[in-house]
Amino acid sequence: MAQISQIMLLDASVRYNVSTRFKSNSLKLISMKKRTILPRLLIAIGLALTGFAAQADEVKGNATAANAKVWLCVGCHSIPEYRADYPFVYKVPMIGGQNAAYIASSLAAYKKGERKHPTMRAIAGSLSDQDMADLGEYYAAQTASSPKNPLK
Amino acid sequence: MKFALITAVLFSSIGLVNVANAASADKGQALVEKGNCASCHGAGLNAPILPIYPKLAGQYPDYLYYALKAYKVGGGNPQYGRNNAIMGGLVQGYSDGDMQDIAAYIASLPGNFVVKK
Repeated sequence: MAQISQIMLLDASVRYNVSTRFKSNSLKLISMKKRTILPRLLIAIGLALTGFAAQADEVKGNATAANAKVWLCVGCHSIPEYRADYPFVYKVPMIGGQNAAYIASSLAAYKKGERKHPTMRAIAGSLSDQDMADLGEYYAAQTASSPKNPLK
Repeated sequence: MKFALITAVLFSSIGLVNVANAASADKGQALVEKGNCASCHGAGLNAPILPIYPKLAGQYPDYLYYALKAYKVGGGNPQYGRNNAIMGGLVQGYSDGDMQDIAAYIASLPGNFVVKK
């Protein structure tokens, strides 16, 4: 019996607290409404603009940053005439000198599963958009005379 | 005499088989020109009109053939299919032999691919 009354008391106090909090909050909201619209709008616009800027930054690859990221690529693509064996036997494509955007989009397609090669899917699955853009720039910049990767 | 005859017959049969299977870069060139591949992949198939399109000139022929075949079977194939609105449509009319010929021609073009670390 004592337990039940305690619970009822607790329940009442919770209800009381919730209802007073709600009332005070809604009162505050009503009183602040006019003042807060302009700053909120400015914040929203500001956030939207930084969003665009962040997106533009994200897709810009950096070839030097990829020096440390090619360790998963070189085991196949840096060996002349290296052959893949699933589901057919064929030489893995040469990617040194390929277009950067094509490389990045291919990696994205492997990550999404639009392209199927199991090894490439597994590797691309571990890459961020920034990694893909960096790797694209790295291989696009390769020529017969380009310097050796100091980390490889 | 008998040995020489049998050997000759064997060699000629191997030769015939090879001739029948060899991809023809000349036929490939005709198909590439007819298919107007350069309209996207650019002059010499080495200067794509958009950076998102690949350079092809000098790429390994067996990879080029594999890529064409992947477009032909389409993205629905779970093992190696590949989906692309443009390429998927273009390759439908090609036989395996046509795709081998196209691959042989494109691989023979001078490109700037390098294989290095």
